[in-house]
Amino acid sequence: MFSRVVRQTHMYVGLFLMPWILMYALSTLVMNHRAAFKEHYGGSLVRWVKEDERRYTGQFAGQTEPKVMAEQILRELRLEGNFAANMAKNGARLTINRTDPLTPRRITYTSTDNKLVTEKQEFRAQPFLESLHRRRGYNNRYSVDTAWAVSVDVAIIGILLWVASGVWMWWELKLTRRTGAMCIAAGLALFALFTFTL
Amino acid sequence: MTFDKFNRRTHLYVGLTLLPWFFMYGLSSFPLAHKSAPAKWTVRSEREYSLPPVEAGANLDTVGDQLIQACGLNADVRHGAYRDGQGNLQVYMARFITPTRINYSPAKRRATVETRDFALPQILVEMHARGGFEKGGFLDTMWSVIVDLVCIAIVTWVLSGVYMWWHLKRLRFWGTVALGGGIASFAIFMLAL
Repeated sequence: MFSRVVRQTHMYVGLFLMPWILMYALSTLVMNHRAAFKEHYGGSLVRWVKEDERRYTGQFAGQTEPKVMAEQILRELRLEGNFAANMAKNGARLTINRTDPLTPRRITYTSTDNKLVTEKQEFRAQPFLESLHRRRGYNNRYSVDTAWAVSVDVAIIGILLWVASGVWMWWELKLTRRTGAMCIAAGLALFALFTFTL
Repeated sequence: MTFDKFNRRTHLYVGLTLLPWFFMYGLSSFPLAHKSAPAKWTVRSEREYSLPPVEAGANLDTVGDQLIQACGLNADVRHGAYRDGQGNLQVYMARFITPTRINYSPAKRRATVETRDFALPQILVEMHARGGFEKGGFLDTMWSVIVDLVCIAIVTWVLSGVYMWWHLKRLRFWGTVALGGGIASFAIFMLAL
């Protein structure tokens, strides 16, 4: 009975988490070959394309925090969601990076001429996968981002579960014990070599 | 040997060989996702040192090499030089267990060499983040090759796992529910994030 539970958990968890695991594997590949992608894209991984330019008529009180200003601008542009805001040292330019996984946007507000420029990132496989890979953590105000962080934790638990259940299932197959043990020993030896030399 | 058996054996043996990497990637993701406490560093040496002013667009790797030599360290270790935003330079010499860093302050004309105290979460994070073919020697390149192999193996596990599940006819319904649920959840995240 226990063996059956282990096997089915291994399989069902694997099937459910397939998109996350594929994403992590493919994103690691493209991150491992970042320099090649950079060359492929002509020197820069990301390319911004101007989408919109307008006069911004909204008002901000004197000491409004960049985060609050960014929220107001994103709300008015109907682009609400996770973002990072950065105010230039002289206080004249606010840059908002709206971290949409499919279409990241950069919104620049200049207070001297009340200009609002929206640029979107051209869709490219490398930055798309890398940004998904790096997206994590609970330090945000959007419930969908918290849900994503939970899904990342579930994927981590899933990985550890596969390791444990995989070893269990291998040990149950007496026929493959010897070759399996050799594979484990070879893997561990190689890993130890890297750990102590790199 | 039938394809079915070949598929099962490949799934198993590749998994067992790459087990330490898979385990490391899983375990190291916890401190990355939950921000563990920063590691402690111990000062190994401190010396007076002065570099000519480093221009804004200067190649920091060359400056890093100079600092490593001046501190009497081995430049063969994979390293990178960075500005800390306060006018100081930092050279990070990557090692899994005991990385070294040189903090150079032009204002104080001082270079400080520190090594990181033993901390398992940081060692795992260091392993997790290591990759790429741009820098480092033979072993670094081999590590990056293994990172590629792990990624290819994961994709192979996914495909061979789906193949094995599909041949278990009595588990098809609940398997489809699990697979469909995962794909739908992921797609919702892509649209809602």
